[in-house]
Amino acid sequence: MTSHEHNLCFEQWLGTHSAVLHHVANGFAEGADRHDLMQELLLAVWKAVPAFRQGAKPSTFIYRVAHNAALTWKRSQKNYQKRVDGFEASPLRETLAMPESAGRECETLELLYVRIRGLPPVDRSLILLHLDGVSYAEMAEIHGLSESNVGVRLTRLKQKLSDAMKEVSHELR
Amino acid sequence: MNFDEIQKTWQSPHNRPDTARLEKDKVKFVTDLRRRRRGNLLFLGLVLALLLLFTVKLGLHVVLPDPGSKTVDPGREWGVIPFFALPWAGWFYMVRLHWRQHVRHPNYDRSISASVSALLDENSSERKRYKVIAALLVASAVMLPLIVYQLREVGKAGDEILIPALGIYPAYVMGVLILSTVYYRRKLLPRKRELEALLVTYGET
Repeated sequence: MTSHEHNLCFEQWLGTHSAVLHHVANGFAEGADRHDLMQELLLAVWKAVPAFRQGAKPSTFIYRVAHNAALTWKRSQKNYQKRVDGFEASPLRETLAMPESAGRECETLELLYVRIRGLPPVDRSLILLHLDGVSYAEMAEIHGLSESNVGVRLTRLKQKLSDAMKEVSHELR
Repeated sequence: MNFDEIQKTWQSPHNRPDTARLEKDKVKFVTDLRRRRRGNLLFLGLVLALLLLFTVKLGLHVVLPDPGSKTVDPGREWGVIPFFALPWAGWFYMVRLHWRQHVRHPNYDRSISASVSALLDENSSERKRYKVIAALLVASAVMLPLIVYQLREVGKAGDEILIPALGIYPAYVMGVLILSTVYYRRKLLPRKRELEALLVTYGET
C-alpha cells in the first residue's frame, strides 16, 4: 500500500465512520479527555489501515480498532487538572457541549453517556456497539467472545441501562 | 425510560460529530503524527549512529592503528571488548524479544481480547527490557574499573580518567537505575494490573 493509498483510505473511512469515533470518544472519556481519546482513536485507525484485509467489512474493522484503542487507552495524568480547568474556561467547550436549544434530548443524551461511562469497560464497549446497531455475531468477532456470551451480557446490560435511565427520566421531570 | 427510547435518543442528530471539530482533530492528528515519526526516527538513528561510530572506531583502531598512536594489545587490554559488546548484546536481546512477541501473537488483531493478551505480553517484554538494561548498566559499571586498571597498566591513561570512570559514570548509572525503577513501578506494573483486570472481564458473563 502506497502512502497516497493509505491516506486516501483513512480519509474515506473518516468521512463514513466518524460517528463511530465520536460515540466511542464520548462513551469512554469526558471533558478535555475526549480530545485526547479522539486523537488516540484517529492514530489507532490510521496505524491500522495497512492491516485491513480486502474483502473484510470496514465498519467491523473500525469498530474493533476504535474499541480496542479506547479499552486500552490510559488518560495522561500530566497537567490533568490544568487541562480540565483550561477546557472548562475555553469557548471550545460551548462548541462541544450539546446546544441549549436542542433541549431535553441533548440533556438525556449527555446523561446517557454518563451512565454508559459508569459501566465496566467491556460492558461499556458492548452497549456502545449494540446502540450502533452492530449484530451479536459481529460483536462476538470484535471482542473474541462467543455469541451466547454477548447475548447474556447484553440482556443484563440493557436492563441495567434502562433502570439507570428511568431514574434520569424522573430527575428530568 | 425503556431501551427503545434509549435507542431513539441514541439515533438523534445531536449524537453526531461536529464537522468543524472533526476537521480540527484531523489537523492536530496529522501534525502530531509527523512529530512522533520524526522523534522516533531521530532517536533510533541517533542510537544506531553512536553504536556504529564507537564500534567502527574501535575496530579500525585494532585493525589499522595510526602509526603515531599506541596499538591495542588484546592480551593486556581485553576488558574493552566485552565492554563495547554490552550495548550490542542488549540490542540483539531486544530484537529477539520483539521477534518472539511477533511470533507468539501473529493474529493479535483478530479480536480485542487477543489484542489485550498481546498487550499484556508486550508489557511483560517491556519489563524484561528494563531489567536487561539495568543489568547491562550495572555490568558496565562493574567492568569499568578493570578497563581503567588495564589502560593505566599499559600507560594509555593517567589519573585524569579516575573521576569520570569511577565517579561520574557510576553516578550516571545510579541515576538511570533510579529513574527506571520509578517508571517500572509507576507505569509498567499498574499497566500490567490494568490489562490483567481487563482480560479477566472477558472470562466473566
